[in-house]
Amino acid sequence: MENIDNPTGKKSNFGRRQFVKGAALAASAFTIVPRHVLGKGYKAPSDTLNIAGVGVGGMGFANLKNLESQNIVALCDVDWKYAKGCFDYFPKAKQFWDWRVMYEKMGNDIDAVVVATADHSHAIVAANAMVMGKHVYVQKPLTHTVYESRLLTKLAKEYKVATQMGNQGASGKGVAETCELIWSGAIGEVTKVESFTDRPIWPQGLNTPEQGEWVPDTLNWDLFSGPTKVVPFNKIYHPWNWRGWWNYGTGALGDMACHILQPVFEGLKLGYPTKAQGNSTLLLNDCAPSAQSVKLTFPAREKAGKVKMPEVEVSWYDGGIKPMLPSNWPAGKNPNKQGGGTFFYGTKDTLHVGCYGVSPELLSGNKPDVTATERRVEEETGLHWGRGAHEMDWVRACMESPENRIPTTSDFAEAGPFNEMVVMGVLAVRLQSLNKELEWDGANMKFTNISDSEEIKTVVRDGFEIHDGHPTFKKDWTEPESAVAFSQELIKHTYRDGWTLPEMPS
Amino acid sequence: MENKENLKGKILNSSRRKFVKGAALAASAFTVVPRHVLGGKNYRAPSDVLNIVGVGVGGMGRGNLRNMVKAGKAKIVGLCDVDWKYSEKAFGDYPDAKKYWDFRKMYEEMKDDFDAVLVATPDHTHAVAAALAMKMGKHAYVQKPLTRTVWESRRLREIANEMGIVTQMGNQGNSGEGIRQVCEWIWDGVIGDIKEVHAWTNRPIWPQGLERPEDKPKVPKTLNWDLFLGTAPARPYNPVYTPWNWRAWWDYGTGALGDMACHIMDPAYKAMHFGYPVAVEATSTQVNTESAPVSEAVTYYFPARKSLEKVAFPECTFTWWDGGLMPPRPEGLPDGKMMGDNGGGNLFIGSKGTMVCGTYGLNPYIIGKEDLPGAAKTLRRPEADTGYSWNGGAHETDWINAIMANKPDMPSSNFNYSGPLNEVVVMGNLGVRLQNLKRKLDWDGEKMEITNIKEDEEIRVVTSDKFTVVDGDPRFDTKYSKINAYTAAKEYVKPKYREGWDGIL
Repeated sequence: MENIDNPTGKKSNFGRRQFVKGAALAASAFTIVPRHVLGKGYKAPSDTLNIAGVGVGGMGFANLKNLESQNIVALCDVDWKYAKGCFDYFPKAKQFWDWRVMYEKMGNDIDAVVVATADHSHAIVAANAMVMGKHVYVQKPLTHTVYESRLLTKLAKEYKVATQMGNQGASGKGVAETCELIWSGAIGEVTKVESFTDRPIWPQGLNTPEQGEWVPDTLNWDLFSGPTKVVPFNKIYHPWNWRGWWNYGTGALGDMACHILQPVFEGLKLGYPTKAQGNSTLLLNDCAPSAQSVKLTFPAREKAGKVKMPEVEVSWYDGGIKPMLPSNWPAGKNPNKQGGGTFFYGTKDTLHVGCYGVSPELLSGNKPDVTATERRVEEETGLHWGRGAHEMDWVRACMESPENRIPTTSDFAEAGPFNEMVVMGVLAVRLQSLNKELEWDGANMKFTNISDSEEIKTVVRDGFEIHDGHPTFKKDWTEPESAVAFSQELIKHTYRDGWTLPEMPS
Repeated sequence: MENKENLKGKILNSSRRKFVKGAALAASAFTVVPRHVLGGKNYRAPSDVLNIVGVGVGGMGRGNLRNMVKAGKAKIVGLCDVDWKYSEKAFGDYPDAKKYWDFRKMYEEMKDDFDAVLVATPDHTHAVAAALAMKMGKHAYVQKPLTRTVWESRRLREIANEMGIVTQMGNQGNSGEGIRQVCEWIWDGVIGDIKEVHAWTNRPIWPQGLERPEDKPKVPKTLNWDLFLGTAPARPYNPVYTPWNWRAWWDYGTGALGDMACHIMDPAYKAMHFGYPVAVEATSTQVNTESAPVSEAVTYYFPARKSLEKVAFPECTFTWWDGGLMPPRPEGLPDGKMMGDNGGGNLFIGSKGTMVCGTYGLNPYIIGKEDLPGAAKTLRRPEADTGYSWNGGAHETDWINAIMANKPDMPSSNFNYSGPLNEVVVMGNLGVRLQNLKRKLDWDGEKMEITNIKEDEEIRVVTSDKFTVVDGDPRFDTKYSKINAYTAAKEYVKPKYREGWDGIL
């Protein structure tokens, strides 16, 4: 493939653009060999993909730039001011407000979709593309809920589309090396893992704004809200800040855990957890806390290579809280690499790795000679993991027929269950007042130790004030509600009328 | 003693007041039988009434004073506060007490007229307000945390012992039943040997992690800002510091550790005979040069200690969590049962069982055991002795009784106990403030020194962190200052006082 032979992709890109200019055809014409000639899903190696972007103002724009060797044929955003940079960068692409309209009008002209909306609409945007046979690249966290992750996992299998979650570190050599180190037996059996991030580095734990603001002309707030309820607009939610608000985002876990825990999930071949508990700074009903800790327990798994995979506890800390350093950690060395880090405690050694899986190293100082069994996507693509390798690995997979397709590094078959782990952290935090270690039935997506009679309430507003030197600690709470129903709603959201997910394949 | 029969102390108190009015004498006259008559410097006749002055009386101090006069054995003869508006109510409680702005002046003018002092100022002036009186031979009740720094705690303990006075830190839970049960059960070997202990609180439940305000409002007429600053470096007045909110600011307070650890670490510290740790390691939400963080976790490493008959004390970690973070729930804790209580608690993981208690050591229990253990009650019960509950006067009254009986060792949180406890508490802040050293800090308890910082080591600490979103783009404007970690550690252990405040300790 030309773009892979030419890592920068510049030359071919230039040629492609000239061709486009000359042709002045509709976007569909960019697919040189019509797919029907070669059979559904198959693309000639010389092809370029026709890609649509949904949510293109932030990370989506960065992803699309890394995909600019392909044909960016359509762009969709609910905020045309925020998206302007991307719109201007890809002037040929058609512009939409509503992805449903885009799919309707351009369905036949799109091969693949990049989804980088706010978390709460990842699933609906991606799933509806997948059932149309479109390949999808979905920003992390893959989805807002466990159910949505499960759905995307199953749809990917059912529709045989190429998928990639946008945790780009998964295409770095660090993740591959970490896995190989673990599987080689170099650190022995792992029963404890501790990970952390310094995020959020923006304000969280905020009270819900009491007043709405005028919606800017450039924003369609109803479409931003999408499947979730429409609350009065406030710029504290958008653009950019939605991550801290439960309606749209998943806090620091959603921001960083897909990067930081990738080598943990992959290296330890984790599946569904069996237990979860969480706690945090003041938990509010609308806004994610400033700092959280989560402990997930995974049952014993099958051996990987020669190494047994016994039950393991994975702890997560965010907001600046870090696990205590291992006893042999070198004084003064920063355990936070590129946003966080992880300690794997094995029976033989301790392994430290940074965010995105960067710089794995054994604390013993040993540098074992480990066989490279995992793909080196950066070498394959000629691109750094953070600058296109991850996106281009997906392009490669899109080009391959389903039968012969080598999965991407964050294919939904893995990223789906992995993301369930990530959003399980959110569940553990939001259900912390139940005062229990939650027991999880992964196959059936439900907690097994919440009784029908249990109720839960959450702080709506922290009314701390000081008057004349005297503090008041007034807190407003939600009405107590069924804990079972509350947890089920967190596992599988009820969507707003008119917004539906495809059926879950059996 | 007469007051025991009259727990409310009302009659006695009122008759005492009449006497006082009638006598119209200087405060010193209240001591009915002069102590020298009965022999021995510190001897008091049972009929004596203790003359107490209060320093910092607007907040907790007011409650302490109320509890001190409850039993009718004490009279409040002097009140001092830097904020006469905040202290208005306390001043109103004791119309006959002399009122002061400056404790130095009060001590000087009333030196012959008071026997004991209550100190409930912000943390940074505990040490000087207490030490100056203690050196005059006055007994001292000092709010928790005993002091803002390690060295100040050490000095108060030393001064107390030199002067032979009776002391109590204001961690009132220490006079309760719960902490005694925790101790007696552990000493009885009920949960075996313990290598892991946790303590936690949901505080701070007020804003921390703050930045120094830039506006310079006028100082209210009712506040003497210079005296509020006391030993601390000068800075412009701002209402974010006082009243009440000083706890969040490093120059005046000690964050959630200072607020709650003297209560919540207390049962563990007493039961586990911890002494000085050999190392500390801390982590937190963003820490800056000005204000304690929103959430912290601090692990102390204690060496093996001398065994008791039924329990050994092997090496042990003791982890403090605040801001809402907690240790994981232990196995066997029933679903739905809150670990500890709303304010926090302790978790003791022993070789034979796990024990949990709430804030102040309240309501301890052993997981999986329905019945409370039948360990012998070896510790004295101040609640029974005084007739008051731990938070309703037992702690203060026990101190007063000890003064009357001239028994410096009697109050259960006397400075020989609470001094080292408080050293551990505020040492946690060393860990927090120096966390950028990225290591376990080795601690020489006797010398009050971190032993593994090189003299030229520098760390970066946030001075200001401004976050804004401009047209959807986040702007992170984080400013840092470089500080010498070695010097900073020394300063955090033993602060330099502002000019004019040296020499008191």
